[in-house]
Amino acid sequence: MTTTAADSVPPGSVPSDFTSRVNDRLLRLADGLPEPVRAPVRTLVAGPGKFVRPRLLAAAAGFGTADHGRLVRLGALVELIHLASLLHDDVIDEAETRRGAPAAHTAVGTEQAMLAGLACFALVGTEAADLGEGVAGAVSAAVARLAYGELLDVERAFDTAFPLPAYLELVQSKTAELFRLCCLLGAAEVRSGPGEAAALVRFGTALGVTFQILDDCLDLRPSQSGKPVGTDHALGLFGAPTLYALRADSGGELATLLLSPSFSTGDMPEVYSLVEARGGLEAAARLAADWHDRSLAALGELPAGGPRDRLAALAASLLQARS
Amino acid sequence: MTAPLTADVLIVGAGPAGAITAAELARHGLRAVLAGEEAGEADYDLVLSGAAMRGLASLGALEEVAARVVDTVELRLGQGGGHVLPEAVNAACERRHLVGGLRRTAIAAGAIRLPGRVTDPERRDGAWHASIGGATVSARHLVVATGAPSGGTPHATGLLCAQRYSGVNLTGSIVLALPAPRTIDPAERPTCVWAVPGAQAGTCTIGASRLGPGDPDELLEAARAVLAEGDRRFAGAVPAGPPVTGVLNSGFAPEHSVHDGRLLVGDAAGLVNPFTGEGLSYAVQSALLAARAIAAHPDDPDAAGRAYTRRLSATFVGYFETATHAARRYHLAWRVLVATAGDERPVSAKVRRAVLTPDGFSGLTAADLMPLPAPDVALLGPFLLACDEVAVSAVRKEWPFIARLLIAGEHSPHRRLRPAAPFFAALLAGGKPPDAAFATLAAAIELATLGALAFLGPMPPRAAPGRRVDWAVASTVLAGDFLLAQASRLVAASAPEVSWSFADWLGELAALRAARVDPAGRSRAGEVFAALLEFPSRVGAQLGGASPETVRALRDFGHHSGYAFLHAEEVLAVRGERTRLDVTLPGMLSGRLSAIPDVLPEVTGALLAGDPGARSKALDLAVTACRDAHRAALGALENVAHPVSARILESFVATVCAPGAPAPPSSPAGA
Repeated sequence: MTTTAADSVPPGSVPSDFTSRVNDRLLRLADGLPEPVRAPVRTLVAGPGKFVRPRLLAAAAGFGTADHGRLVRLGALVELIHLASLLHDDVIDEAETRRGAPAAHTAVGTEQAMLAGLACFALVGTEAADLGEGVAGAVSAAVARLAYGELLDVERAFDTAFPLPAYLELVQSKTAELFRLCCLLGAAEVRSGPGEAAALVRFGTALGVTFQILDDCLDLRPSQSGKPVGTDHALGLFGAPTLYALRADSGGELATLLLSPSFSTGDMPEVYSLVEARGGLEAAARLAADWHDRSLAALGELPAGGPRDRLAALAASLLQARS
Repeated sequence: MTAPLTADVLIVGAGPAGAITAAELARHGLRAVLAGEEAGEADYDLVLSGAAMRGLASLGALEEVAARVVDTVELRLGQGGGHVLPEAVNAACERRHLVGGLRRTAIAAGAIRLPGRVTDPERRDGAWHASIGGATVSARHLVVATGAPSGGTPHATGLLCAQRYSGVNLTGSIVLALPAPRTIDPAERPTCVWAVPGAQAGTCTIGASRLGPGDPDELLEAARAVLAEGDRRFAGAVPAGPPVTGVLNSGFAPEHSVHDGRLLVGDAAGLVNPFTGEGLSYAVQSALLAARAIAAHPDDPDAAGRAYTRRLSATFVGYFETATHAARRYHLAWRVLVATAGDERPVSAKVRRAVLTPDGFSGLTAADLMPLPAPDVALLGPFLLACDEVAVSAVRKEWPFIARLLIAGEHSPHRRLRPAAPFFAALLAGGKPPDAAFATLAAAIELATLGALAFLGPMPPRAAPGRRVDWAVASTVLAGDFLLAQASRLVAASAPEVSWSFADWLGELAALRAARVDPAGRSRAGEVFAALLEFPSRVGAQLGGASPETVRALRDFGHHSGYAFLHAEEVLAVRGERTRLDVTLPGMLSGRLSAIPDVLPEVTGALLAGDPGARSKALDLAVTACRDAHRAALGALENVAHPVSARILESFVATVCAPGAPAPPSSPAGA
């Protein structure tokens, strides 16, 4: 591949070194933090990551001409928001491991992990401000929504009667908001027209919701993703299939099992069969298909061509990995 | 049949809220008719909170209701032992005395009392008409104070019971207990239990409230059992009167407080704390607000209704105005309160107070007020009110309990010790009157300060392992993230030019605290607090267009004020007094907040053990450090030329340092 002018990316193409440059940028940002908050952030950044969010941002920016350097910084920014959330989520959930390594709070203690997360959010703020007022405004609104999603997620723990509209609000705040932000920042970076930007943002939200519903299904049955089964259920975080099944759980068997103090991931085969028998997986698959259709509809509003095809391919590969 | 009685206001319901409305209206010279039946229920003792007492005192009714001061409120949360809520001034009185005394107060002020059943008032030709016994009344305004309606919104409706007991040894304290949840299931509803000493020795009233359906006898028996568990004072309790049962309705929403032109007050408006079942404080306050709204618009009932709604909305923060998340958020608050029961961290102590007590409360301070001349107050007051409004509206919908941390009730918000005050003074230092739009930035600074305190205090210990949420740790992260994110959002929207510095400030706070906590770190204890107060002064000066020298001076001022704040906390903590952050001496020492162990490592153990010699050494150290920081802050102010700016800042730092100030001379100083 030949490079064109210095650092600008022609429409529709994501340079092959994009994720490695995002990774370098993240490492540089982490290295700029003072000790002792640097170490846990550095460890997390250096761990294996799939860069789902930066890739989505770059694909959304494919509908115009972007400055490659800024695109890399924006990619690092959305990944950093994700990492900051992970640091705090792991403190709340008391997760043992993250990205194959001991979770930050187990390595450096609860308080230092919490402060490292705070330092990351602060770094998100300075980096966003550096990238311009528009970026700072969009990022701060999204981070506020994420914090609200974090609250919704904790307060619904062990709620076997969590209603579906509340579940969708949670998913939109916690997972889809960041997907939405990636599309919004990508569109804004290449000055997409209002119609195109609106379609991209709707696409991002719908993709995020679909992604989360499929992720919930993974907590029930093993898949190629390698995600351990039952972690969320053990924490009392019941996803779409289980919530659907609970609505049909007239004998209360599933609810009783899920609320048992001695519940462990070893109970997951039984949860799986109860959820399956109550039609939970089927209903969740329908919900995922519905949101997937919405994402395709939004995609359909975008101009046909290379950029749209690449966005569609990226979305398909993300969802493929979840099923 | 007698001629119809014409009045300005008809008040239906002659309980506490109705009688107070009538009394306050009559004091404003309006003709008020207080109508309603005598309640036939058994008598019992109830709590008058500080807020209720202030309201009654404003009517001169405290003696009339035979209030007995009770010095102590014991709080029992979860399984832990009880602890005393500092500086809670309460009283107890009998319900019959309360109602009788308030009715006498209303009549003495000039209100007309019409006992008897009231027909449903009808509105015709711009006036309300109703008949009471043999009389008919017409009035322009109608106030409804008929107690809790039975059919409320399910999330906010429950049961309230009280019963007199004898054989109890409860004299000088009120006990408030919130038992721990029995399961991890969020469907479980909290029960709150209280005991109030009676006028006769050996008696008390035990009460209980519970959201959701329930059986009164079971609830009262459970309440007695909760109190008797591990507390011998209640071991011999036997019922000494019939149980009294009522509906708990905490479904308050400002926009539902005026219904078809009727102003609803007290329980009728759903103004009851969902956790404690306490409604009297709110009855007193809402009655006064309704009466004042009518007095301000005697000829215009619609305007009076609008004014009432507005005042309620500003006064009663911390309630769900929509039902969507209420049940889950109550459950969250309950779990957090119980999980942090023994927790001495500032944020936990503040949340306890804000959620469980009716008194308003502010983020940084206890009760210290800055002395300021009236013209300065006139300048600062509106700015800080605007700041409060923005801060409260940023969080009230999603997390109303946190909104309660941001308001100061009826205390003077413009004279509180709060970061928005130096921010305002610094804005002024440039010489121009501050732009009112900066009130939003002030709100962001206050929200961020509160959020930062969640992360900067000592950490709660991890909960015992098991299948549960670690509520203490989780709520720390949630509250901190939520407040800081809201603050950042306000900054980006209102003052994008400071977005970078604001985020940089948060990063600096995280780094300083992390370095302080790190065993290998060498960060001084005061640095975190210095950074906390340095930012508002510095950024205010920059935005106000101050010269570079003035900006530097204000930055130094904020820095030294932060040190002064920490050392004043140490002074209070060593003396065993309530600190501004509600943190205790052991909490300060174990949480690495205090500078004392850095300078006097050898006394720390003895200090904790209460050794007088160690105490005196530590106190000397803290007092000296506080005065040094005070002097340094005043020194920085020499380069602030604007007189009002300098005066507000001087008053701010003097109030911060008041705990370490020299004792006032015993006789008036000659020179």
